[in-house]
Amino acid sequence: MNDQAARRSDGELVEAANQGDRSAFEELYHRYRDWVFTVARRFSGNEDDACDVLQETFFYFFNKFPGFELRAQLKTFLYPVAKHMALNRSKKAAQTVPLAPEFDRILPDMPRDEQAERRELLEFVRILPEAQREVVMLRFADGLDLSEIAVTMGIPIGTVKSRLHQALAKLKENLQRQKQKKN
Amino acid sequence: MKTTDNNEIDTALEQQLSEALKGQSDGANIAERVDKAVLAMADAKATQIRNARKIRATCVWRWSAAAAAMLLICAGLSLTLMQERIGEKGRLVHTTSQTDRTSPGDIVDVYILASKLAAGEKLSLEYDYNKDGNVDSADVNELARRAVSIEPTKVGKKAGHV
Repeated sequence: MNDQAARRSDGELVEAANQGDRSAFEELYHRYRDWVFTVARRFSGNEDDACDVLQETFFYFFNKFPGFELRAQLKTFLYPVAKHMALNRSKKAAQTVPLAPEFDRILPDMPRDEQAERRELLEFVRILPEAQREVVMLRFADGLDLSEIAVTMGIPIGTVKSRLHQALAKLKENLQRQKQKKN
Repeated sequence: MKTTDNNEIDTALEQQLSEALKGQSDGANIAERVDKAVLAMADAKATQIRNARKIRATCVWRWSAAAAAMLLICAGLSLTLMQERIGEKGRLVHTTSQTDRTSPGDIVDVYILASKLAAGEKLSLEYDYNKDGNVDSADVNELARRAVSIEPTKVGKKAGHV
């Protein structure tokens, strides 16, 4: 990865890749590799499948060149591809997909109280209805804005807003109930 | 007041969620074989695109050359035809259609007449299309008018052939 590639925007990288620039392909891969892997793991349930989905997603993406046009954030293109490939893989393997498996990952070093609070919050996210949880993950884990979530999921922005609102209300309610229990 | 509290709670909750959920991609344990396979595919794709572009560039050059050759051939043909119409010594020549007087003459006739007048050549009253007793630029205009007129030409009548 050279400095010139690091400075280029996604749009510039896509343009260069359309011209056959190998370093642009590589930079696009390195830029989104970990994120696509996380999304794949979220839906496939294990790291081995997530690796295969990562590979298939980029094979699919690179095969769109030349002629690929970047009309929104690249994540809005990669997310549905990774999601569908991961779900298909899980269906083929007849696996029960665990809910947001990344929540099981070890939390970074932090005081026990905070760690417990965070675990509770993640647990509440985990038990959200799937449609609401997906919006929450796209918004807060993947950092997409509402319109990008709408494009990514192929739903109206109003639906995104209402799902997010309902999810936050549910989380707030659960957290408050938990606090009351402790008190 | 309650709304403000709710907003504060929402903001705090959103902050908490961002902190808790971001960084979930840290420690992605991606097998080396995946990196190798994807980068090999990227390399192959880039090479394929560059080769296709080279072939396309060659095709464009070939098509341009073919078009230029066609233009040259057309220009040569036009010149030959024009010379046939003008005649070897620059004399006005009638084509078959002009000889039998069934067409009103065309823009080439107008051009030839204009050229001859511009060169100061004296022409017979056969070319006095507007019947004013002189062969001049007014006759060129009259012939041009007839050449583009949609009115049917009377067969057998002199109708503007140079």
